[in-house]
Amino acid sequence: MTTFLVLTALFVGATTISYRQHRVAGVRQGLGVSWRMFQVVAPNMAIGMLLAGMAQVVLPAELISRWMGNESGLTGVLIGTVVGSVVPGGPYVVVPLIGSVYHTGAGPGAIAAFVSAWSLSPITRTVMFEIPFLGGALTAARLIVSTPASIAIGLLTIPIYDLLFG
Amino acid sequence: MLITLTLLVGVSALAYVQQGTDGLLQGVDNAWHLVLGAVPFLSMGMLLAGMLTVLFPPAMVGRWMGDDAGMVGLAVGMVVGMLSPGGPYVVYPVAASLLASGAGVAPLSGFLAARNLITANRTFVWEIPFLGVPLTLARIIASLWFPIVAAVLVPLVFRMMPERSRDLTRLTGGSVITGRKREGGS
Repeated sequence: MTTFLVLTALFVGATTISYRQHRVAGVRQGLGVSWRMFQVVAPNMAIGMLLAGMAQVVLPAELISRWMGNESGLTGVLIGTVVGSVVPGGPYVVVPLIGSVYHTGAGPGAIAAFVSAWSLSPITRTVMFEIPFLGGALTAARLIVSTPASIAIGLLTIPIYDLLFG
Repeated sequence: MLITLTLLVGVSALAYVQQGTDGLLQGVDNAWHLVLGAVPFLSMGMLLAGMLTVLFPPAMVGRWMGDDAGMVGLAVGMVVGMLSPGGPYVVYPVAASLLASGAGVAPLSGFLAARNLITANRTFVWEIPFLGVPLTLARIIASLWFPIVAAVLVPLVFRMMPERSRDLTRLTGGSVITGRKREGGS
């Protein structure tokens, strides 16, 4: 609920500033972008949610909590990193799926590594967008630095989570 | 989308094999609860994302980071990276335009790392609704160091790459923006 209020406040603020700067044209442009975004995201999202819902039925809870649970430590983080790099799709597909894995018993470290690897070194997005736009050398340099970072972030998240919410 | 559909069919088949029709119904029910929980955040998040493109147009992002590549430029790049909305369709064209307009590899790497790892948009719209505040917060705190490290290390590794491929980086970046015919191969 708080999140929704914060989002609403941000939206009202951004709309106000857009209106002051560009009048109705600014607001209209912003809403146009939102609408196009919705058109692209909605069908993907429907499939993504269905996938996440089905995954909750199928995901083997015991295996996940054993291999990715709180006790799994480095193993869970490594699994999260690999799975995060491989799994395709935008946030509308992947985040609900990560949510299912989390609620099936994975620990904060494994999930943070999953999110990081999916954000920093996803195979599909790298091939589809990054190499065409930025070239192979820069992409390779970025991946060499980023992949170990996902592991480090996963390992760091465990004590931070315990410290704050444990 | 095709890959996701294939996955969906596969997982549904698995659910059916394991638990019959009950498994499928349970899956749909789970999905429906996910939709109900996410819709308010998603709709407001998309409205906000659209409005932010008016406030922070890509050209402005390019100007801030293109001119000064110092620590200030890096800091600006990271903050802009965290705030700027838009999927890979927006990010990589912007990144290429930054390269083409002479941005350094360091601020660009900081920008990309921040954009991919701690983006405000994705955090509010997706992560918090599905993963909750505690995990999201812990993950973000654990990630804060990385954009700076990326800005330091990526240029170092980049300089170790063969010289020809490094030239190509600029070339590809430039050709996308100016609309020049793409030269060379991959």
